[in-house]
Amino acid sequence: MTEWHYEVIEPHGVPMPRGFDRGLLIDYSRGPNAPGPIRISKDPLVALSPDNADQLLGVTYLVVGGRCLETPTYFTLEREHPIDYVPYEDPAPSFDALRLTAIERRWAEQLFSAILATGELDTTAFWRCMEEAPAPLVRAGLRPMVHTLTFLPVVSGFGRPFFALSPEARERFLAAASGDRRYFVRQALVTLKTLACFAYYDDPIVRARAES
Amino acid sequence: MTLVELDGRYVHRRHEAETDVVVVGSGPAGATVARHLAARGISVIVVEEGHEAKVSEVSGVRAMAALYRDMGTSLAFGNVSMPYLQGRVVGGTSVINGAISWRFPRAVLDQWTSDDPALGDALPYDLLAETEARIEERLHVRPTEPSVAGPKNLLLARGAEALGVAHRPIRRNERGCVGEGRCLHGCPHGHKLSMDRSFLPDAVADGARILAGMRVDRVLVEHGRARGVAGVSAAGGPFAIRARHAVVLAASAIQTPCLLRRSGLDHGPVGDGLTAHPGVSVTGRFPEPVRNWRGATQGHEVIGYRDEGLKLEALGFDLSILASRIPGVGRELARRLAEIDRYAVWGAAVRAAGRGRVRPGPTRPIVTYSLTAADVEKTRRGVRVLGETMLAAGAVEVYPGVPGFAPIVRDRADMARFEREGSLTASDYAMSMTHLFGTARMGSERASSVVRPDFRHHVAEGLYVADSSVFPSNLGVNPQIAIMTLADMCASNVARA
Repeated sequence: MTEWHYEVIEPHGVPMPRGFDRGLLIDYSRGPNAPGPIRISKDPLVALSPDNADQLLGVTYLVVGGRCLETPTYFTLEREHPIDYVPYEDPAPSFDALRLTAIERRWAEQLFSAILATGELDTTAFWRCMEEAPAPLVRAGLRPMVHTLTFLPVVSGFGRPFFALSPEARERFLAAASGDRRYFVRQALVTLKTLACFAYYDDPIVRARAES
Repeated sequence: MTLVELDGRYVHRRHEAETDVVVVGSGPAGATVARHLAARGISVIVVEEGHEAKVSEVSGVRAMAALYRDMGTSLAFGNVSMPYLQGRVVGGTSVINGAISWRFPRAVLDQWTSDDPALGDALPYDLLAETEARIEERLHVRPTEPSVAGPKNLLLARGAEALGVAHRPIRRNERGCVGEGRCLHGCPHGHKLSMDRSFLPDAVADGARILAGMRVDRVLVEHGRARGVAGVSAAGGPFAIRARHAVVLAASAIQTPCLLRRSGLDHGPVGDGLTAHPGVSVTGRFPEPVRNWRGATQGHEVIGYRDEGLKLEALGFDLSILASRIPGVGRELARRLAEIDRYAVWGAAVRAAGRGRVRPGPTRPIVTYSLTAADVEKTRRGVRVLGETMLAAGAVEVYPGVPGFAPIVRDRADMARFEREGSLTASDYAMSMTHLFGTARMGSERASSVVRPDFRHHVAEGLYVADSSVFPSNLGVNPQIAIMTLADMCASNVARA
């Protein structure tokens, strides 16, 4: 069996054999086909009878140097049955748009390190897993949570963003945030703490040490 | 051996198939229906959105990503936002549950029958009990052996015993459990008899076919009759499965109503009336090693508060989740994590009166659910009795984790104060929601129910709903056996029709 890719287009601005000035065109040059004659092939289609698009007549021609070379390859197409299903189109924005930027990820990692008091974590594999997983709510929520915990210290008595605080001040801020009356602030800390724990125990050495 | 005939990750072009019955979903309800029908020689195709999991290869965040819908971060929004956990894998939520097996509570059935006598005729208790017994035998349901329970479960027993509250080992569907504590991430040894290890292999042996990685988007309804389903594979290829006899929806109380609504089948209260068992947990520290991640994941339960709508269970979490439940940040947390083996987390499942709603959203279902004031009081009592039981079991510290109350409690009198002084604001409690019901409820009245008492859809002929969507109320107990039992009765009706 031979398979080719194509697009069906209206034949405007495309070299056409004489007499074919209406109908549709199967254009193989627009599909990702391997190099070969098919890349210069086109099939004009016309209806065999008026007002009936279920039986079509086609012919194959080649376009070489802008000129049409007709071939004796004629064919008919007959509709087997009406289209009974159009796939549900998921209008979701690409989750990639929700991915943290490099600087936001750095802020998140600073929060992770301060929450766990572990120093730097190697989170490369963890972030890869997070990015591959279809968890749009986490992705959508993570950015405002990281921003909240990064910049809340500026207006809550610390006078600077989280990344500019000393290790002791970072810890004092996080302790205060964990008891904050504002639900979103508490939830932001709970979420970042949960992700920090996931990242920490994603390291097989850390996991093995804890389980032993 | 793979169970899956067709993996949607490799289905790039249009796929079509025909069968007698198409079943949407491979969890406890779908697997039960498929097994029942295949055993009768009826051709069945099971269509599952998730993939076949290789559970021995994953743990921690990777297990969440591989097995849970949206990594376990699906949220119900309301007066307290709660994650609800669902499996998205061949075998459905049975792959990631604690294997807890309860029989259908007689009192609940009596209530259903009292509200709608037609349900009593359709679900006779004797038949229900007989079906349950057959299911339990196949799934090898039995009480957790003390040898695999592990300290966390034995401590719960000790605490309940000290308080004089009824308790018992949890009956679970497993054979050969070694107490590895991995139920919630899929048993790595296949000892938990989840659907992918029991009913689905039975169904496949009798000729059922399983398509995985295939998301059903709608039911094909022609001239008032369900003729099949259509959707998209994980690789983006459209598919249509034609059903000569019936379409059975078993996609969960969240996905089933969305599927009905997307198919234009929005009559009656479809998507309304969501009920659940919200859960709250308490962490405690013991003087001796507990190793909460080892031993039967959920091996012991306190049943003495069931009349109040509360049931306590030991919770065996992965290290990463356990760590996130330990109080503190920074150096305090680091100190505590250095002795993480001393910490345990126990939970209370609340039989809540709250009701919610499910609607299809642009990318995910939109779920709203709020606790009633009485539910919050019940939750507060749950935290109190969890803490008291922990202290009675020998915990040196208990962490209620509720703003406005002492973060550390060391004696039972202080814990008792929580029931008077603890918050009655729902959002002050960190909760999660399991066991979802009621979004396509069964009933005899077309205006107030979605399916008839025999599981047939009120409007579309040849369409059945077999999952917990049909339950008119929550149960107060873990529902997988009840779901399978009703699904088996649904399958009998499909076969007879």
